[in-house]
Amino acid sequence: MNTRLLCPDQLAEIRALAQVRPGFPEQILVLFRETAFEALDGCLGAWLNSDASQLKSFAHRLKGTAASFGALELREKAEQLETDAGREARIERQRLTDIEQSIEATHQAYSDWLQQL
Amino acid sequence: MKDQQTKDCVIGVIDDDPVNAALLEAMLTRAGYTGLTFNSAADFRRRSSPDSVDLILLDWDMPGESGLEFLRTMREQDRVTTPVLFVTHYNQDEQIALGLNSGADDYLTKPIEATVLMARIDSVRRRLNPKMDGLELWPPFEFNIPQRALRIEGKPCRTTNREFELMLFLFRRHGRILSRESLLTHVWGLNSNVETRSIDTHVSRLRKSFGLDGSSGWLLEGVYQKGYCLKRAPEPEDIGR
Repeated sequence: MNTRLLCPDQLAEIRALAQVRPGFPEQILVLFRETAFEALDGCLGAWLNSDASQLKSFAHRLKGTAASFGALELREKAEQLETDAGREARIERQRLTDIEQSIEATHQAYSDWLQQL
Repeated sequence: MKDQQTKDCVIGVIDDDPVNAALLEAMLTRAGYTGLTFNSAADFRRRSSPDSVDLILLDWDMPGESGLEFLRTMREQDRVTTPVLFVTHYNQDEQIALGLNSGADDYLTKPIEATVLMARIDSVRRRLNPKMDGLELWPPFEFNIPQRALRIEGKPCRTTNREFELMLFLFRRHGRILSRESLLTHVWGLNSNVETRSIDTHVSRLRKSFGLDGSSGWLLEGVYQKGYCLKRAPEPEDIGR
């Protein structure tokens, strides 16, 4: 398991929840992917419109989703984006691509973990 | 799994993040609570009400009405005392102080650890409801929660599960107006296909079979366009004043 991407404690929590709700680990992955990409789309739209306030808001939502899921790297990137957008710093498009890759990598790492459950 | 009183404790989760809401709801289920999720303050108001749940887990940062605004309205305008635990990413000291000073009973920062969440919930419940011995008394009604048994004036009364649940729900919230939607959500369950008129049928039966027409000292009253309210029936000498 990739501990850079996923928090082991959160995975343990999810594993415990599966005892009362079989299928929960799969369900939460679907929710994570949908919610994270929705927030990223929001970030992208805000970035295209040069709307720093909206960008900060969507980055904050992405950070929240990542934190709840235990996606460590993604949380860090979203938090940094939120901070920079709040300071109205110049943000390169590449930052959003990095975040997209981080969502995919998290998804893959979690899927691998699921296989071992 | 905890006791029946825990199962009877309905906890509303108001959080726009589906991942966090699903986690909280699953944690509550595992601990034996009944968790209901709402994706915004407006969704909560539409399908429930602060009076209809026993405790609220509230996110701060939500689109539209924020958790803080919702809490302030609930405490200052609606005068509702339902316990609220903030569950949020905001972790600065001044934010925590603001949340608590606005009427929250406790404050937790995400990500949430299940054992801590349950300990905080239990702590709030103990503080606000110190008597948890399985018996709830609203004379002459006596609800034995573990046995799901009802006595009126000491005599056992047969009830269906639904009647028991509905009466218990109403007695715990007596004096408050409860909408039909709220009764449907909390007594019949979120996904039930029951129509609101079925509630009217049940209410009518409660009045006749259990004396909630005032004859028991309790009156289950219809409130026009709002729902129902269970209250103490006026004393005979009060009538006509």
